[in-house]
Amino acid sequence: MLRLAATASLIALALGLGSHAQARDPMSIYYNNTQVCAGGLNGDDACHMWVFGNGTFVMFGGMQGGHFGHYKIGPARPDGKIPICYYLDTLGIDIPPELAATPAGPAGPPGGGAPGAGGPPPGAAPGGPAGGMPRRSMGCDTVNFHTTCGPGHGKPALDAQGKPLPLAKGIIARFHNGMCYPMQVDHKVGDHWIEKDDPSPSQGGLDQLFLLPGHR
Amino acid sequence: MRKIILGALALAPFAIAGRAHAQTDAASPYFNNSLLCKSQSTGAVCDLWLDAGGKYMVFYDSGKKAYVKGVDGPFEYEGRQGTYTAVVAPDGVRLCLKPEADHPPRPRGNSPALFHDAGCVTLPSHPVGDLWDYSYRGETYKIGLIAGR
Repeated sequence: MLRLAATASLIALALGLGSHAQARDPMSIYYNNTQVCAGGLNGDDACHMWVFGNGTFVMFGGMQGGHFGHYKIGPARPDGKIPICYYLDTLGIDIPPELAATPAGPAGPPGGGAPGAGGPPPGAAPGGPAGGMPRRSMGCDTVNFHTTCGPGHGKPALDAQGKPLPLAKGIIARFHNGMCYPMQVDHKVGDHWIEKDDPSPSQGGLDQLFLLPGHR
Repeated sequence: MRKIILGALALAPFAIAGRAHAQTDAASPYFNNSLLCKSQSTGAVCDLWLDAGGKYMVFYDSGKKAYVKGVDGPFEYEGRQGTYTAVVAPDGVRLCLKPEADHPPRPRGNSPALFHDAGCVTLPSHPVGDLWDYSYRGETYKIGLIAGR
C-alpha cells in the first residue's frame, strides 16, 4: 500500500501537480472559449481569438483567414492586470485577388465612431484599419511585456521591394513582432467588458471584449 | 495465448493510429496549406485548414460590417472546428466534416455555407496554387488551394 502511495506521488510530481502548478492559470477561462475584440467606441467586430493551454493561439478577423501564434504571460501589474503578449508565428500567405476578402462596406455604426475604426486584439489591429487605410508612420515597440504604439515606433512594414505591405499583412507583421495587452483576468463566459490599455490610440485606446462559450 | 493477447494489446495503438491516418491520407495536399473560398454572390470568404490528425478549423469573414452588441453578436467573423475524414473518390477527394458540439447554437450569421455544417463534399483534385469554380447548394464559389497558413 505504501509502495502504491509513493508511486502515485511520483506520478503526480511528474505530471506537474505540485504546489506551484496549482497556482491559478490567468488564461484558463479563455481555453475552449472565444475572445472577441471589438472597437472600444463603436463595437466594430475586429478579432476572434482561440487561446489554448499549450501556449498557442489562433486569431482571425481583420487579417483574412486564421493565423497561428504563441503567447507569453508577463508579471502582474500593481493594478492586478496581467500583460499578455501575442506573437503570430506567420507572416501571412499570398492570397490571389480572386480570393481576397472584400473590405466590409460602411454599414454605419450603431452610434458614434467612424465605420471601420475598430481594431484587433484585444483589439487585433492596433492603429491599423482606422478609416480603412493603414497609418504608414504608425509602429509599435515591445519591451518588458509592454507595447507602445505611435508615430516613430517600430519598423515600417515593407515588402521585398521596399513598398508598404497591404493592410492585412502589415497587421500580421506587427503581431509577428509581438503585441502586449494588459488584461483583467477575473472574467467568466458571457462577460462583456472594456479594456482601457490598448497600446493603439485608435478607438481612444479602448477595446470592448466579449467572452463567448466554445469556439465560434 | 497470454503472449498473443499482450502482443495484440501492445500493437493496438499503432493499428488505431494507422487507421486514423488512412482516413485523412487523401487530404494530404491540404496539410499545412490553406483552402480558401469566396462566394461569388456575397463576397464572403472562408479559410479551411485540415490537419493530418483528423482535425480541421475553418474561418469566415462575411464581408458585412458588424458592430458587436453582445455575446450573441452580430459578428463579421466566425470560426468552427471539428474532425473530418477524407477518402479518394473517382472525381476527387470525398471530405466529410463533423463540427464540434454546438452549444449553445451559434447566432445566425452571413458565413458561406461551404464547410459550415456537418456533411460531405467532393473536392476535385488540384495542385497547390490552383483556383477553380465550385458549386454548392446553389451558390458558386471560387476556391483556391494556397501554400502555407
